[in-house]
Amino acid sequence: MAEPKFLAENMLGSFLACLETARKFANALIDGTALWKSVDDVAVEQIAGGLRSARPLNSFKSVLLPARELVARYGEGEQKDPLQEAADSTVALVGVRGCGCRALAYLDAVMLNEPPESFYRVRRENTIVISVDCAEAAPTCFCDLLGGNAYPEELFDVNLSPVESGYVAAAGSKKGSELLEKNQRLFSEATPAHLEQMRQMRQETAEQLRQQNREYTFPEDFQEDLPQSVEGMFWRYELSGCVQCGGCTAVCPTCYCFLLYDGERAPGAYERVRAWDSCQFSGYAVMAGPPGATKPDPRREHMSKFQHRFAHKFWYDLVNWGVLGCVGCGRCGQTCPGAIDLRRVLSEVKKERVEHG
Amino acid sequence: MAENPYRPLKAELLEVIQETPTIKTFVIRPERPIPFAAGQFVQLTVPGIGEAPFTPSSSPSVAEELGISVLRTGRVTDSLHELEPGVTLGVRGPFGKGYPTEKLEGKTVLVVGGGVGLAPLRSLLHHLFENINSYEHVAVRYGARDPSELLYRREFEAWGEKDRVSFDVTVDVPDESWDGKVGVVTTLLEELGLDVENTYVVSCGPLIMLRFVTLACLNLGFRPEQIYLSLNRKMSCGLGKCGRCNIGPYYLCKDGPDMCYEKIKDYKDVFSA
Ligand SMILES: Cc1cc2nc3c(=O)[nH]c(=O)nc-3n(C[C@H](O)[C@H](O)[C@H](O)COP(=O)(O)OP(=O)(O)OC[C@H]3O[C@@H](n4cnc5c(N)ncnc54)[C@H](O)[C@@H]3O)c2cc1C
Ligand code: SF4
Ligand code: SF4
Ligand code: FES
Repeated sequence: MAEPKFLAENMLGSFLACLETARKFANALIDGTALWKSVDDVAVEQIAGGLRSARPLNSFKSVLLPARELVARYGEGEQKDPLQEAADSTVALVGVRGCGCRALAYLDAVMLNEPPESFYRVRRENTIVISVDCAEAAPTCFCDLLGGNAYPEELFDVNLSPVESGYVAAAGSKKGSELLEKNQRLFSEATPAHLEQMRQMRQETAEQLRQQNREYTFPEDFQEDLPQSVEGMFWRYELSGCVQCGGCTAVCPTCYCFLLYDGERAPGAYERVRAWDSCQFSGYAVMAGPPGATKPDPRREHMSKFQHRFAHKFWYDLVNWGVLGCVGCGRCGQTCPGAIDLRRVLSEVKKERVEHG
Repeated sequence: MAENPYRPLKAELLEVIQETPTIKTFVIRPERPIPFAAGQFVQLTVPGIGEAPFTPSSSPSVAEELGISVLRTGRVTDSLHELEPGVTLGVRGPFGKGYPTEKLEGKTVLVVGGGVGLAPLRSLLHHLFENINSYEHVAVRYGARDPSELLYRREFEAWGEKDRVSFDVTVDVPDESWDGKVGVVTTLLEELGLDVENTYVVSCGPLIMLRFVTLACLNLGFRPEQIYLSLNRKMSCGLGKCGRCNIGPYYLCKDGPDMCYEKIKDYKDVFSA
């Protein structure tokens, strides 16, 4: 890779402009909270603020896997294929964090294994990832406890590290190198002082994470310990806070469950829509059953829904993909009205195993 | 560009056969053939209403026309049951792995069906009967709630008369027309007299039945790896992506729907309903 560059703060707008994609999304600071927003809807100062704050409350997954989207038309009338429309569009994501890059790696594993999910695949191919180091961690962040760093290490095209009055820009892919090359007028060489500021900023964030997470200890072997802990009393305490709102799964960058719905747009013309679903909802796993009888539900008990979320992320994903389905972004803990914090639950799993091992 | 996996193929509804008061067989002709293996399933679309998963009950050696036997039980199946031949449906698939027919070669196959569960098993029976010389013996055991709910009743006699095939049937609740056996399907397993060591079990039916069939077979000395269960879950995508059809780490739409009991026995939601 070429030497790192320096992007001055006042060049951020020009940098965003040089991304030649049909759609652009970036972190923007709105009333003190960073959120993913369309670049067209916010001022460049808000983006500068967003890139320097903790990770946004929502996740970029809604760009790659929208909450609700038309996936097929069938029957009479216009037959323009929504997949073609998705393939024809390009998108830039500005502000993917270290945890976001790991979430991308996870979604790639799930969505691109045979048979690949076509919509995700065409969008992913047409996405440019501009990642950013976390100059600050959110209070619920715990990437460090899962072995992650608060700066991107994989799957980015260009990474920006916020330093004094600008960013250190490093290419992470051929696409990224070409982007920097083509727009070299926007950049200067990064100086040793810039690189030192970057090193310090990374160290400070790591220290912040260490401080805020020092009371938590996670199991060393989730696959072994999680199934062993399911009878633990602490689960009941945690469950009592859950109101099944589905907020945790909606903000999670790795939760991907969906459901297909059909409708009639005009007489004889039909549409199929794909919409997010949540394993925490009551209808999620309800099956068809004999007429008149209560429909079977393999996870009827609230507890089995609650534990399923953990089992999927910290057990089944290890079996299937060899990686955890959680990147420690802390979004679920921040959004949960019952203040259910994965750090506490996973530390309880560990404690249960130590006490009753 | 790859084909849109969510867009159904057009399929003409050729024929509707009333099998029982609650089950009809729908014969469809997709706009292009859908080659499937016994036990693989399709998502059948009632336009504008939605899709539901079904395992064709017709012979896997015919890809141009598919027969699908459907129990009327809810939103999609209610609207299906209202339809007359001539209308256009939609179909996606095939999905899943299908039955392990190669593994069964040279063995005795014990096929245990309950209620509409005989429908998916029938594609397997077609395959076994068409290649009967590759199998030691095929023992079909079937149970339904009452005589009127017996699926494919008109074919029972012919099945029983085939070489290397045995057939037995029971109902939970008899009526005046019934002079056959009475009792749940597991009662037919008690008097099997099969060489357990050389036999594989394949079963499909309501969850509660699968549970008792599994227990009965374990009691008879079958090992978990000899038992294959067609498991039902709510399904949507058929591609292993929408997440809902799991048992532990397995996605039934991709890894199943027929699962070796050995693989799933340790996950607690296998039989819960
Ligand atoms: C692999 C497989 C093979 C099968 N093979 C057969 C077969 O050969 N023959 C047979 O009769 N049955 C078969 N079934 C069962 C069959 O799929 C169900 O009976 C069918 O799905 C019932 O659909 P329904 O809409 O009529 O029932 P409902 O009870 O209305 O719905 C069934 C499922 O769809 C959900 N649902 C209902 N309404 C909506 C909605 N508006 N939006 C989203 N979801 C909704 C329900 O929650 C439920 O999970 C099979 C099932 C599987 C998984
Ligand atoms: S956000 Fe909290 S309350 Fe809502 S479903 Fe998730 S765990 Fe339950
Ligand atoms: S489970 Fe919670 S902490 Fe883990 S990736 Fe999802 S939102 Fe982030
Ligand atoms: S039906 Fe979607 S994952 Fe199995």
